[in-house]
Amino acid sequence: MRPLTDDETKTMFEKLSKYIGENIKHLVDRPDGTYCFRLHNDRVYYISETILKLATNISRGKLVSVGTCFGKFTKTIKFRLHITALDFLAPYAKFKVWVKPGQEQSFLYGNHVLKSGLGRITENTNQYQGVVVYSMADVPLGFGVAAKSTQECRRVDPMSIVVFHQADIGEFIRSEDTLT
Amino acid sequence: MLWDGSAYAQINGESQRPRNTTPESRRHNAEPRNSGTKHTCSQMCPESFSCNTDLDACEFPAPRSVKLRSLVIMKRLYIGGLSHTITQKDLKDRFGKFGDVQDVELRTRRDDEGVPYKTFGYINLEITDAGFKKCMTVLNKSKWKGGTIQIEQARETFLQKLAQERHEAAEKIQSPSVNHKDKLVESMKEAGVENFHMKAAVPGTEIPGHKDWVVSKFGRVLPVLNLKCQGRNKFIKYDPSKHSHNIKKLESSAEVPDPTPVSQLTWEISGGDDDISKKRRGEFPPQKTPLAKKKKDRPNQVVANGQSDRVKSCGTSEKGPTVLKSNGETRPPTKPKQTPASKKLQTQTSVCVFDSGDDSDGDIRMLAQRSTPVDGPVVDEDEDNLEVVGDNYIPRTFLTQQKIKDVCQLPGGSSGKNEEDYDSADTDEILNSRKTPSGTKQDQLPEVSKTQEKAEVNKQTNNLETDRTKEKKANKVLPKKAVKKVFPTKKTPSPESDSGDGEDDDSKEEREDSYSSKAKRTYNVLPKKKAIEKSTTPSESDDDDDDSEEESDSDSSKTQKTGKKVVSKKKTPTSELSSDDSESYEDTSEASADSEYEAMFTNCQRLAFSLDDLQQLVKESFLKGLDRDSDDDDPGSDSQQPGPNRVSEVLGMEPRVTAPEAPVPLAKTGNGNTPEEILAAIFEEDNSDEVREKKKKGKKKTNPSTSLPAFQGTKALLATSPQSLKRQVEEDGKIKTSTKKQKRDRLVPSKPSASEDDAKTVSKPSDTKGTKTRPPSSSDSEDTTKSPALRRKTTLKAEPGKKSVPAASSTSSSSGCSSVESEMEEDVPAKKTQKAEVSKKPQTAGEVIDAKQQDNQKRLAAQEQRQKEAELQKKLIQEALAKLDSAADGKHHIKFSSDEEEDGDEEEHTSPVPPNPKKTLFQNSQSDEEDSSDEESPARGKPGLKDKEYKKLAGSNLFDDDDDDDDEEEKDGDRFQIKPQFEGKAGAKLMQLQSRFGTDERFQMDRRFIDSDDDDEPEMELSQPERECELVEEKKKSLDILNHLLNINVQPSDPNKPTAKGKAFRDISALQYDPTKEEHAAFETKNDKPKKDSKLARKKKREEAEKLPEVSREMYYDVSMDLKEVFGTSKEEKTEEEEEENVAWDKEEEETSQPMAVDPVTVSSHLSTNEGEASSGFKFSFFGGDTAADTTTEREEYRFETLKGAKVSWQVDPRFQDSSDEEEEEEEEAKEQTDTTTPTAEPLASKKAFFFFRLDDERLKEGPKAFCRSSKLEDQREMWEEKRTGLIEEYRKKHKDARRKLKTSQRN
Repeated sequence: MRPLTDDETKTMFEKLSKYIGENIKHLVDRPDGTYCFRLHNDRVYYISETILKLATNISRGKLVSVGTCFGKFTKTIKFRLHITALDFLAPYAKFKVWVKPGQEQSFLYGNHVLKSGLGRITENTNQYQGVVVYSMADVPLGFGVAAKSTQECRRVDPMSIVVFHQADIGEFIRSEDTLT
Repeated sequence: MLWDGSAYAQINGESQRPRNTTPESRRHNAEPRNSGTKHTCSQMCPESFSCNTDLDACEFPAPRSVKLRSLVIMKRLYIGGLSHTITQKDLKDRFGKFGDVQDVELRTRRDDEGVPYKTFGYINLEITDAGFKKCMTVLNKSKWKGGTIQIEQARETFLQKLAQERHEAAEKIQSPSVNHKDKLVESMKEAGVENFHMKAAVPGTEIPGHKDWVVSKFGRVLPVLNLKCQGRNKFIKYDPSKHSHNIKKLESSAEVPDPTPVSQLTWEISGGDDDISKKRRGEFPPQKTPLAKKKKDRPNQVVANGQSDRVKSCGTSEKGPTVLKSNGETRPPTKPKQTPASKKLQTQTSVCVFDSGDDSDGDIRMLAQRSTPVDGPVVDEDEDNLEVVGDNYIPRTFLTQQKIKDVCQLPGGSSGKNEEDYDSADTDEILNSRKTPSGTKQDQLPEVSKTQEKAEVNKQTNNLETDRTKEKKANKVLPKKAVKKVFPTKKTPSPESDSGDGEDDDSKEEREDSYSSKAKRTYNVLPKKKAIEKSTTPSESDDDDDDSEEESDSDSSKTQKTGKKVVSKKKTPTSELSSDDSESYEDTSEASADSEYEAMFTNCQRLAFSLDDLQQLVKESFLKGLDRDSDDDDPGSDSQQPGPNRVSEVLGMEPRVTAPEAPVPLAKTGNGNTPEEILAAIFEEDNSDEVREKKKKGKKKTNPSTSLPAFQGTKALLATSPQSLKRQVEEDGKIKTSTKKQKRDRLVPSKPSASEDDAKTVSKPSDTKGTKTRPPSSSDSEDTTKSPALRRKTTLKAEPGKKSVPAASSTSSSSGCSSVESEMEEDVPAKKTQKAEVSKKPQTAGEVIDAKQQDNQKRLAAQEQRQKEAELQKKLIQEALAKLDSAADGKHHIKFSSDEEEDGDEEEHTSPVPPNPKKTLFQNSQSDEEDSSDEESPARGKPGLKDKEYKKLAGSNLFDDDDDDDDEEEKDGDRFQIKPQFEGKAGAKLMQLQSRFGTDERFQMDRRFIDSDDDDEPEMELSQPERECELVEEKKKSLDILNHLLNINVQPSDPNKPTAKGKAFRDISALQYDPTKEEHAAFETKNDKPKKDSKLARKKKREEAEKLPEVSREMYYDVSMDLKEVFGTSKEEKTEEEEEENVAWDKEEEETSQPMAVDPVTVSSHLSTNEGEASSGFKFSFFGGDTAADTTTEREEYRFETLKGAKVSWQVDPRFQDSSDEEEEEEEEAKEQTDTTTPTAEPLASKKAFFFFRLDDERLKEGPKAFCRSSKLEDQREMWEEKRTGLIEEYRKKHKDARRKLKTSQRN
């Protein structure tokens, strides 16, 4: 477990900023305590200082997970967000997409969000903007990337994809073994 | 046909028009172009060559620069590479040399941060060509103010262009466009071309004079075209002559009589009258405004119609243009433009998908039909529901959810309700899982459970509680600490419990509490203070009692207790009570739960009575009880009991009252055959309960409920006792009662007087659980034993009315009751009458009477309780938090105490002497002395039972001492607290060292033994902040990265400053100024502004302040000098007087001190007395071993008097002034030394070096003199008067002198 290098931090922040923009600062600079990002097994964990201290007692090999896993660095040193980061993305998300109840399940099974399932969308969403997907009851379901801008979303036919699926809370079950 | 719209023809590579060409030349240039365009047109319709008419339309815009006067041309120049500082004027000046500068336009490009990186300008210059050239050569690429100027010709401003275009358009209108054609035709004619035909010309021959015109097949003259390839920049020269071989001449072409020009070609299509043809012609039926509203309202239903309509409209609207453009063309799916705002349009668009490429109405209809039934609704719905949301969209549901969560998290009533629900499930697991079960909560906050349902729930909870207690019993030993802690809390409740007792006792009289009264009617006859309370409308419960069997009695007793509990604000009892009642007394069962409920509330209200009231009541009752007893017709043993006894009884009853759930403990404590065992069990329960309570409540001092748990045990005991113990109790009952009485007596006498604070007395018994628990049990047992007779008596009493039936007073309690009743009568006659009435009636009658009042009371009580609840919750939380630590301590103590208590119990058995024999004996004796009647009581009379009695005493003492034990136990607690020298890491080391030597006092480890060289510790401490620093740095770094990434400015917040705090909303209107709060200091208007001064200013001020006193001193000296001069003569006189006075004072001292002082020797010599007095004054710190210590204490009074004298002697002001003049001393000294003489002052000065007084300090000798009257008052007065006359004379004289002097000086 080690702190992120500058490059890694940059990559990760770039990724995060697609979803929460400058709200990253709220993650980094929290009023309720010191939190930090730590790299462990190519995964980035968001840990409070207290837990970090506790985690020092566990050897690197034995440490499975600590704090909240935000995602992992791929072999090509790109950062991939995991669904576990949703708890921190959702409150700060700048662009949101609400999915109709009918398509909730579809999304939670890992499918993209179609126009027909799009219940609501934040205005001025650009294409390929990272969005957090909510159910109509405002339960965060996951996140993805807007396949169409808001304007385009109005025009496209119902079967066209509006949001590319990236992660959903169904993964907690589907990929239980890989999520840490 | 390829180049109809997109193709762009250019002629002969004349791509760029020279800017400064004269109009003539430009016109010349324009000519061929026109022809070119013409040609294109002709090619579009090859048959008709005469499509010249639309040349105007095809013509390119005319030449731009129009202004031409002689040689001067208007030029617009671009000037780049300017420095940022250049102004328009600079440019004007610079270019003014070359021509007339018309307009200067300066532009600066700035980057995101506003830093200019490029500046350029445009200039409109009227300049000749030569001038322009010169200008270019001179200025272009020249350096000017740090920049290299780049000059180029620029296009005109759009304004100019616009103006020119308009101008040209106007010109064109003036000059008919036919000119060009005619000219061309003319010029062609010269070359032998007629109407673009050249006869007998070989194809490919150029027309002389016209470079771009070639003869093609059939002698037609065609222009050579330069065609631009699509997508490429190349131009292809198209020579029509080379491609003309396949052209055939149409015969009919010649017949075309009047070729219409292209521009006049109409697109009209002749057709029928049907819709389509009309539409094709562009005639549309008046468009219906779509039913927007309808659709919105019920999207699903309207879908079918609306959609079809929409489809039609869409199709038609789009069809029109498309058809016009090209008929056969298939349209791509058109995406009509939408205004995002209108939903209707959105829906339209969604439907539009279907009509792509379908022209016919039928198809459209089909589509509509198809879409509507099948997927229409779904799709439509979806479309309709698509919302676009702003960034600041906050989901409502989310908020509400959060709110709900918050509410749930509140520890308040809502949660309580939930918990109650849980409780309804009777499982122990739930209880265990939830640390704070509703039951306890309700106990704490009795107000919460107001409704009957709640009461029921409480019942259940009670059961649960008992279960729990059972469980805990096994594990927990009697925790004394808990008891201790509870004590303070109990104090407040005790009065309430008293009141409860009163109620119970009065129950015979006061039946308003229908529920409790029934149960209560019973045996406990205690003087009631409560009787006086208005809320209690007397009701006769007695009649009911009599019939009940013994079992029922026991039940009733239980119920009683529960009732008391209720009084003391426990909810749980009510339920129990009700159940018990129903069981035991069917007749009374009418007293509905409502009535109980009301009764509860009435009780609560009673609780509001002040302690003083209670005290008064107690006193009165006490006195009255005495009277009563004497007056009582029944000469029973009780009647002989003196007042204090009764009071003690009252007190004793309280514990009983507090006894909680009887039945359950009974069932649980199967082994409880002997009272002691039961007691022990009860205690354990109590303790556990208390502990629980402590944990949960923290302090609820204000809350009466806290006391309840303590009493549970007794109740349990009682409950258990009735059946299993009854026999025993009966046997021991009398003894116990006697002992109990004694104890109570003891308790009472321990206080200076029985009439003392009721609260205190009450509190004591309540505090000492042990004592109470036992006595109540005994009393109960007694009651039970006596019950039959008593009951009868009580019933008698009840029936006749109030205490008019003194027969009931056979037992002491009954007598007490009667006394109280008498009190009531005397104090509140009105009430008495009421009572009498009510008493005659059965309970139900009482209820009926007060139904309305009770309703109102209920309501009020509910309100109150709600408020209290909120407050309590707050308090509870705070206290719980605050007491976390103390609670841990409490555990220690509990264990300790419990052991002790157990031991005590054992001791009780083994030895009659209580563990604290001294105290108890002492108290006992006192009590005995005071209460002779006690000894007379039958129980006491039995000698065989003495042992038990003693035991009881011991026990009682044990528990009585609990108050004292508090201190002791605190000491014990101290024992367990870490001693200061063992605190911290170093302390731990020290502890280790010490442990090596054990407790050997010779090797007590001190702080000095701590190794000074533990470096590792600070290192460890250092590492912590280092790590934090690292984290902070990391944070900074990541924020930096973030800044770079997002181009925002994020500053790390100060970790010390919680940002959330600042954001917290504060209702200023609700703000109240609280001087104790530091934050509120901001609201204070501060008078001291100098704080703002800078450091320098402050320094200066300080210096000034330092200087000031010096200055003032000098002044002071001057003045004094003046005074001396002025009063020089009088001073001598005064000193003499002083001396005299001194002598007189000494004498006086002796005189005054002799009578007062215990030790005449000390007084005999002036010095010694002084010393003694002084030592009395200051002894405490400095002269600890002084011999005068003993006397000093007794001399305090004396000192007092002398102080007064000193005040009087203070009159001698002038003396004081004089003395102070001579030396500057501290003010105190000066005051004390009224008669300072120079010799005394010198040693003083020398002694100033010492910080403290010394034994033979001059000041000590002289000081007292100031406090003693040196002479008798009359003498002094006389002297003063004498002196005054002298002084007045003197003053007058001097005044005169001064005047005279003044006059003389003025004259001079």
